[in-house]
Amino acid sequence: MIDIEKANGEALSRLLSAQPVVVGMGKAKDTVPGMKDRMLLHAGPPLSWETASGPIRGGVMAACMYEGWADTPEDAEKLAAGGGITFDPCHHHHAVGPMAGIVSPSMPVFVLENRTAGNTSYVTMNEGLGKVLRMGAFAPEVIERLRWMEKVLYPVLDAGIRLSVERGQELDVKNMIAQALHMGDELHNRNKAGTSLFLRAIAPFLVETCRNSADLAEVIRFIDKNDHFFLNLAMAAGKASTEAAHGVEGSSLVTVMARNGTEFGIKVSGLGDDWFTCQAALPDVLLFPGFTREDTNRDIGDSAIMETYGVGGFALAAAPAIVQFIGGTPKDAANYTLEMYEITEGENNMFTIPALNFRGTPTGIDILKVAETGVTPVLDTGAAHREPGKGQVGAGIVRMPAEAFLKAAGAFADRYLGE
Amino acid sequence: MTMSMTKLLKEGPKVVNIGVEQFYADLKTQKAEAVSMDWKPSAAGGDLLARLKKLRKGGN
Amino acid sequence: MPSSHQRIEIVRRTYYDSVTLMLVAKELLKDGSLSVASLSMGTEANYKIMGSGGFDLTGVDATPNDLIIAVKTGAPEAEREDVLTAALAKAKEYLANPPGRKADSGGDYRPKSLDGALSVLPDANLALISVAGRYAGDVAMDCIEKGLNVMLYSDNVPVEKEVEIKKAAAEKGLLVMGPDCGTIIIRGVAMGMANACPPGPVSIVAAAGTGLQEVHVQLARRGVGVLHGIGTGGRDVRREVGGIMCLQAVNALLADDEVELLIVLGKPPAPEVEQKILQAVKAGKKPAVLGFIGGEAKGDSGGVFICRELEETAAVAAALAKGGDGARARENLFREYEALRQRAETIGKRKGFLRGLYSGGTLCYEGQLIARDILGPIRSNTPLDKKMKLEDSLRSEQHSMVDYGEDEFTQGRLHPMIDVSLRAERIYEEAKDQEVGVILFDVVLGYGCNDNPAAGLAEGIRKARSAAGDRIVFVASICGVDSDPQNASEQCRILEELGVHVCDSNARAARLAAMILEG
Repeated sequence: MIDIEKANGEALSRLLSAQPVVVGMGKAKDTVPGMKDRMLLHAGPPLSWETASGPIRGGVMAACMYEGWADTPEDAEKLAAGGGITFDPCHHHHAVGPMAGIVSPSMPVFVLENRTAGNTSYVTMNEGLGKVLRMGAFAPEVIERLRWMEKVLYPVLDAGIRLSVERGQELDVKNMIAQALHMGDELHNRNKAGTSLFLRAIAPFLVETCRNSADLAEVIRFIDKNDHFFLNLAMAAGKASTEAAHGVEGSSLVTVMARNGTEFGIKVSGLGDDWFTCQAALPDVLLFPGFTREDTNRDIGDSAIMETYGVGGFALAAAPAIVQFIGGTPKDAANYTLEMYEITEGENNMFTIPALNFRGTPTGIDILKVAETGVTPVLDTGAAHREPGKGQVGAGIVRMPAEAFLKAAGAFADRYLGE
Repeated sequence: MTMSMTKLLKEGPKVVNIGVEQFYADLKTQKAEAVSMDWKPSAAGGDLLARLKKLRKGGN
Repeated sequence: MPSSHQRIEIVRRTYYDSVTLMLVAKELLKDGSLSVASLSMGTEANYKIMGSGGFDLTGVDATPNDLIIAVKTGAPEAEREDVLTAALAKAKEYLANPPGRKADSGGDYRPKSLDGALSVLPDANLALISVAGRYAGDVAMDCIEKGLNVMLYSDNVPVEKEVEIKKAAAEKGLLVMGPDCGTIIIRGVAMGMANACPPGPVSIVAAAGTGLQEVHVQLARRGVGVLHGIGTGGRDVRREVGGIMCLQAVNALLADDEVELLIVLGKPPAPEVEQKILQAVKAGKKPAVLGFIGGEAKGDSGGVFICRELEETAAVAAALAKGGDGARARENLFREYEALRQRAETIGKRKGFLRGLYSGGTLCYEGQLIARDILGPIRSNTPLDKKMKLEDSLRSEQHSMVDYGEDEFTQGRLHPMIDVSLRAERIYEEAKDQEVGVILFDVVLGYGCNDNPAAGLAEGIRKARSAAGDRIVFVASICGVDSDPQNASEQCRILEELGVHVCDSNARAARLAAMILEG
């Protein structure tokens, strides 16, 4: 009979000792393992075009036009519906994507490496706010922006990152997350401090490597205008760290939590490659003016990796500014974090919360504790419009559904009780 | 044998309240040490819970 | 086809605690658009109660795990649909966000797991469990495994579970008080439904909740305090459980140097358990008073006083605690009881039936014992004699006493000491019966109880008066003290203003009520 406590201790230690740093960039087709032509990666557990929600479909349509596989949204739809595209979760390729999370072959990605265990992770660059692919928008401006990111943003950042690696001064994303937590970020809905820290760190390398000051200025302005630029890097850091904790025999810790707008899915360290899925939650969040709950798409995005990593909704006690989204008091924000300690294996060694006397964030979700207590992870996330192309409708607190955890707990009992 | 019960009688009650909130409020009024649980029946059915209990015990 | 005055909706497989359901129902009635609002779990008992409340439940197939939301309106036909639809929508909204909830813990963190609770209060030594009976047993086992003593307020815990829990606890030297234990005092701290009396040299082990409360209060009235009042739950002293916890508690208190006098209280235990208790108490070398309510008049046994009534137990114990004569105290008490006949004459004898409406089980039991001696057999939902069982607890027959704390009234509902509305309504119902002469009731005060039971019952009494004028005499006892949150003197004043004859104890009230009708 396995020693669950020991296994979970081992898995958590692998997660906590991970050291994700930025080691380079590349085009997805050249860099992301298993990426193929006419393949699109997406957020969440496996899906098909038939089951895909509005934001995913919109993102797919935008990607098809960006890649030149289709000229119009209608043609893109036909292509996708006709089976002309292979869909695969980002998670199957050591990658993560926020909201629709679509990664296409030509998109540039960041490459992060976990210096402790050597595993790598991949993520695209964050497009910014408003009409963006990750929210399911596919208007011409979306495609234009993607092209600019490929032609200008990517080369400038890539050159700077190469230099940082050459000099042995790789960007330490985990360190930035730890600092950002003390500056009002929780690293899911608020990434302002993280973005500032990233820009500060990379700026000298950009200046040294970029010969075109107009491009450089555009790049810096772009990052400056996008408070969520750091989110993607933080997600990749999370992915590299949690993946290192996967595959520990007898461990009941969650290494993946992800949503695709239709389903919510998790993976567990000691349960191999299996996804445990159920219907994704319907967010009940603070809505932007003009939108109603009927407009909201089900929960979507790989950004749940942040909570799997021990931040985001788990670190609400560190982000008093978020409180306006939940219409409560700072005490309510703190109570969410306190609740998460009840379903996690331990406290983080590097991510600490000043308001809780620098207590480490709750880290390492245990499916057995979720099953026993009935407490499910709380996420602090954005909500998309259910129709493709309409963008974001709001943001706030969303509870993950229990069913997936119960299925996983049942499977865990099946596997490890040996009856 | 009765040490744990004796402790209660000598120290006074330090209470984990599970259920009716009013009982917790009354303890606080009397300045007793207490914490109130937000208890809900487990989402896991009795069967699964029993198996999980077994799993927990098995390891050590 | 005229649209219905009522609307019923079932929420399947859900769980809401009774307080939430009560709060929501209360809130729904606030705007006056509804005549009745009821949120109850689909137990057999609740079906009956809702039926009596005027709802037509034909075709409603709810189980005890389902919630029934029932609303009724007196609105004119044109508006009914809208009123009822709005009410149901509001009900569901309130269930998600119960009104008045925020105030509860004052923003304190409420842990979701036992481990979470113990991380907040590592020194915890007692779990106070009041969740639904079908869950309570397992919760108790978890607590015992963590080394906590348990107060199991919940009832409807199967006896097999009770035995399992108590055996596990006994092995670890832990105390399990309950199931169905509503009243505990530890070092003077009141838990569950218990009164705010000062601590002192007496300790009590009770298999009876309101029995413990009445004795606690009667001792306080005589200037004697109680340090510990340990409830064992009603079933502990029966054969199946064997008095495990009663004996554990008795032995602990006899050995405790802070305890000068021990009282053991409850309905007569199984003979073998009674033997063990007597043995322990005699070996204990401390003054002891055994209050076996309704037991055979055996007489005292070698230094151990044996009483049959609650006030009697308190009077004897108080005398002993003050170094006085227990037997003399008992004699004096019964002399005072005899004098109640004069009071009955002054009030004016009546013809007719006695209707007792009780919230305290032991008080109802004692009331029957006393009234039976004067009036003959009494019918009840918890009768002294099986043959006297009321067919329908909602329908009195001849001399009747109803215990509103019994299962049929409490499954999926709030306890009558918290929600007085059922009894208030019943007072009115009884008054409409031309053959009723006296209505007798108890008012139990203390922590955990309704914050103004007299006012709640007063509603029923006023309606009863309009229906019956002076035909009916109202007699009541208040189990409480002035330092209780409700203030006994205040409660007394409210009742006396309505012409209720308030007595100093349940024993006196039951006697007075019976004497008024004595032929």
